[in-house]
Amino acid sequence: MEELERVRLQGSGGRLGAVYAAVVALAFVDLALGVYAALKGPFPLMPPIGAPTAYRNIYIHIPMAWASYILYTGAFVSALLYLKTSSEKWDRYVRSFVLLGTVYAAFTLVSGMAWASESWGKAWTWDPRETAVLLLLLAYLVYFVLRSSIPDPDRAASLSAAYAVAAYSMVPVSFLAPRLAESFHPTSSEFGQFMGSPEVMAIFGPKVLISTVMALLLAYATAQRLAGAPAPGWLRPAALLLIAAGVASGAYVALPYLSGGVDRVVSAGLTADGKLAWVELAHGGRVEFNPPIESPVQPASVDVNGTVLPSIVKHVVSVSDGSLRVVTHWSVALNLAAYAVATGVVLLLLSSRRLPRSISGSR
Amino acid sequence: MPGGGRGRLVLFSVVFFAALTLVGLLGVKSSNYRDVAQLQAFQETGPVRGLAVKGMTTNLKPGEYLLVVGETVFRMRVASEQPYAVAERIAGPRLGGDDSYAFFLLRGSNGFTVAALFSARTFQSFYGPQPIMESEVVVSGTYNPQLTARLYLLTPDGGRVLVGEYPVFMVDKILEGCHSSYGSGVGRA
Repeated sequence: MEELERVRLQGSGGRLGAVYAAVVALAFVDLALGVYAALKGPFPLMPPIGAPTAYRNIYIHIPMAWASYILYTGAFVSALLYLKTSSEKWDRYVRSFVLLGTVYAAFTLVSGMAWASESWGKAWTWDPRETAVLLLLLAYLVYFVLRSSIPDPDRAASLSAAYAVAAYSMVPVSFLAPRLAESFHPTSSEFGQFMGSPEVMAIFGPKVLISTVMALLLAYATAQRLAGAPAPGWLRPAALLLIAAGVASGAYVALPYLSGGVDRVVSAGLTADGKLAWVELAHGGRVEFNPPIESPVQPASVDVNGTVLPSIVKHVVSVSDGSLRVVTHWSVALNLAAYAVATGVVLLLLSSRRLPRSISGSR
Repeated sequence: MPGGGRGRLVLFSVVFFAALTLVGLLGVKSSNYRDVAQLQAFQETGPVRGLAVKGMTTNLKPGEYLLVVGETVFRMRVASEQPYAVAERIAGPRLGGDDSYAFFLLRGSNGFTVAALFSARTFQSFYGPQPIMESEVVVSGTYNPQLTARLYLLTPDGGRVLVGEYPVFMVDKILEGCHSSYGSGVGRA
């Protein structure tokens, strides 16, 4: 029976190769789009705290969070199908979806902390959704502990599938957390105000679509790998290239930080025609622009409760030779790199000759 | 899988689903921030560090104020009605590491109010020169029930009227929600 399955898998090698190729291609497209979002993505004009460009994490953190919910939904459905049919195929899908969902959820938690350190003032605040995602992650980590603690493979599969159904309860709790308790996370209606902008949607829409499709293809490839289907030989160098590209992209976005000379604008002055006449920097003092320059942030001013404020205020900037450049907050660079590295590591794992025992479930 | 075994697994799933939902809901509900009102019950004789509390800001009326915190005297001017003012030290020993503090009153759900003091330099570097504060604010820092701040409004004839006396909450972070961010328009750089 197992031999038959192996022959079937070898027969489907071409299709699986195409899936890996699609995953790698999507990962590079996603990274390129991520770099664009990190450098050019629109952001809320005047957040109450911190650098507005930290909100470019919207294009990285949220697609990953949504993809983790979709992956866990895949695990839930597969677990139900396993409990109904006892088919090994569904057991592999449960393992695959839970594994990837956990990678995505862990990334969501860490990327959110980096973002919150700037935009909420603190990396960890026991915000209801932060807490719910942590509980979600812990609930799914128990899946692996449970599975590996049962010696009988059939019993391990059925009990852990039943547990995967139960653990899914944390997904709606986490999704609804901002509605269930007072939260720093916005509800979808508050978030919708910003997302309504076509220029935001032009980046956010494709990012969500690519992340989701890539996550599902990765789950399919992982399930096939768990069935013993080999990964193509080119996957390993492609994964290493993706990791290198991720690190390089993050470093490129963070270059102003790495080369020093970044500062934060605490105050600014605009001329009557909306040009920037001066900025007051947190550490660098006052910098005058003579003649006044176009503000690097557009629109140059924002009306807040009847008070017109220069929109450059609170931005992290670098000043050199009389020019002012907006610097993307470091959390975006970090998350951009971490996302590509995480995807690359998953691909690297799939390309290995033998999967680690904790993943393959073999004894 | 025999029918009885499947039945037990389904029961296991349903029971655990309910149990985990309960754990999740309790976790989410207990993540709510402590209300300033709850500080009233604190009887500690020394400072209590690492607290996060939420409260409503109270608008300060225009005028000149004196703020006396322990032996330190600050002066502040409020030009137009706003939720905070910058208090500059004019007499007495230095309080903490700064000479000027952003001062605001945080009121709890039962009316209990604390005087929140936050380093003006840190406050302005994070919030900009004209900070926009929401009516509800969550802050983290150190609460000292034994240290009180007396707020006086200076009258034109040189006298002073006590506005109120409040325990002091030294703020080290303002944990601000991002809800209002999404309504502030779309920026490009």
